[in-house]
Amino acid sequence: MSSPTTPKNKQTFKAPTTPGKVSAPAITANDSSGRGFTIAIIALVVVGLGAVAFLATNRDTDLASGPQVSDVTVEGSPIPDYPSDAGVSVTDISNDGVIGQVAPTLIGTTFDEEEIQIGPDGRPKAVYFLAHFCQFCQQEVPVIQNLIDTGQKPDEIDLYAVSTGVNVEQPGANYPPETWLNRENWTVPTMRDSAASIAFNSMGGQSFPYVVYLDGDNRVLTRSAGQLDESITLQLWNNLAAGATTDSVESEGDNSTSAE
Amino acid sequence: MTPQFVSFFFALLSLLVVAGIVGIIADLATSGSLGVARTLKPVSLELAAAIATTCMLGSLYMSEIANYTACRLCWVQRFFMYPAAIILIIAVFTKVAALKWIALGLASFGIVVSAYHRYDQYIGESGTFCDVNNPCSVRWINEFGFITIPTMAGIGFAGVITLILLNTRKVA
Repeated sequence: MSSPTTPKNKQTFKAPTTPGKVSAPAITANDSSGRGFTIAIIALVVVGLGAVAFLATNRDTDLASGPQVSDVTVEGSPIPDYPSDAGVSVTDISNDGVIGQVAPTLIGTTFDEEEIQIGPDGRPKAVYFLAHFCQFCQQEVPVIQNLIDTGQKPDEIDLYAVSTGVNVEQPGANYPPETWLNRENWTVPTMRDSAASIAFNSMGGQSFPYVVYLDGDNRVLTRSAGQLDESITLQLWNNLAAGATTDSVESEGDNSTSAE
Repeated sequence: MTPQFVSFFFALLSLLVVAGIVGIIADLATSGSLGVARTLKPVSLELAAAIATTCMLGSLYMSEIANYTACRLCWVQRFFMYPAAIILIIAVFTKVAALKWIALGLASFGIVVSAYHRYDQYIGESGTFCDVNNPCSVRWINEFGFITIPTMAGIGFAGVITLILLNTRKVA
C-alpha cells in the first residue's frame, strides 16, 4: 500500500529513483533473482564447455589399427633390474653388473602384426622401451626421430623400440601408442610388449624411457634410464657403433662386432 | 563418456575457475570496478561447494572408472578435498560460519600438496623419467600441455580458497 501522506506529484518523480527509499523485501527479491541469474549463467557456461569438450574429443577418431599389446617370447635369461641409485642415467661397468651379460632375445610382433626379433644378429643395437603415457617418452621420440631424419644415426647400428607399459583397461594419456608413434612419424621398428610387459621386465626395466644398448652378440654394453640430451644420445650411438658405450667396456676387450 | 572427454572437460572447467579467480582478484584490486566480486559473492559458498564436489567426483572417476592409478600424493590431496566438499555442502545449507573456515584450512593444506605434486611431475627427483614404482611422476593427463591432475586439484583448491575468502569479505 502506498503512503497516504505522500503527495501524488512527488511520488511520481521520486519513488523509482531514490535508493534510500527502497524497502527491505525489494532487496531480498533482487538478491534472489540475481543469485539465480548468476547460477544460471555459470551453469550455461559449464554446459557450453561440456559441449566443446564433447566436440573436441569426439572429433579425434584416429584409432589404432589393432591390439596395442601382443604376446612376446623371451628366449634366454632375463637380466637384472636397472640399478635404482638416484642420479644414474647411463650405467657403466662400475655400477651395473649386467654389462657384458647376454640379454634375452625378444620375439614379438609390430603394430602391423609382422614378426620382429631383437636378438644376436651381428649388429649392435639400441632398444628403446617407451610408454605412451609417459611425458618423457613423448619428448624423447621426436628427438630420436629427428636424429634419424637428419642422418646422424650411425649406419653401423640398428634401433629398435618396444611399446610397453600398455594396459588396455587403464590406457592413460596419449593412448593408443600406435597412433602416437604414427603421429610422430616414428620409423624405428617397434615391437608390441605383452599386457604384462614381459619384454620390459625381462630387460630389467624400472622406468620409462629405458634403453638397453647391445652388441652384435646381444651382450649388454650399457643401459640408460630417463630422457637424455640429444648430445648424449648421439655419443651413446657413436660409442655403440664403435663396439662399446663406455671406456670401461672397451677395456674389457670386447670382441667387436661393429662394422668399421 | 570417454576418459578423453572427461579429462578435456575438467581441463576446461579448470581454466574457467582460473578465469574466475583472476576476475575476482582483478576486481578487488580495482575497488570493484569490474563487478565480478559483487556478482559472485552472493553465490560464492555455493560455487566453492560445487568446485570441491566436482573435484571429488572427478578424482573418483579418474581412479574408479578411467582406472588411472591414484598415487600417494593423490591420496593426500583427496584427504583434504573430500572433507572440504562435504563440509561446504553442509555449510551451504546450514549457514554455519565455522564450517567455511574449516574448509578454508583444508583447502590451504591441499593446495600446498598439489603444488608439491606438480613439482614432482615436472622437476622433482624423477624429473627425467617415469618411475614404475612412483606413479606420482606420471602425468596421466596433460591437457593444453600443462593441465595435469594435480594442476586441476591445485586450481580447485585455489578456487575454493578464493571463493571462501570472497564470501567473508565486504564487497562494495
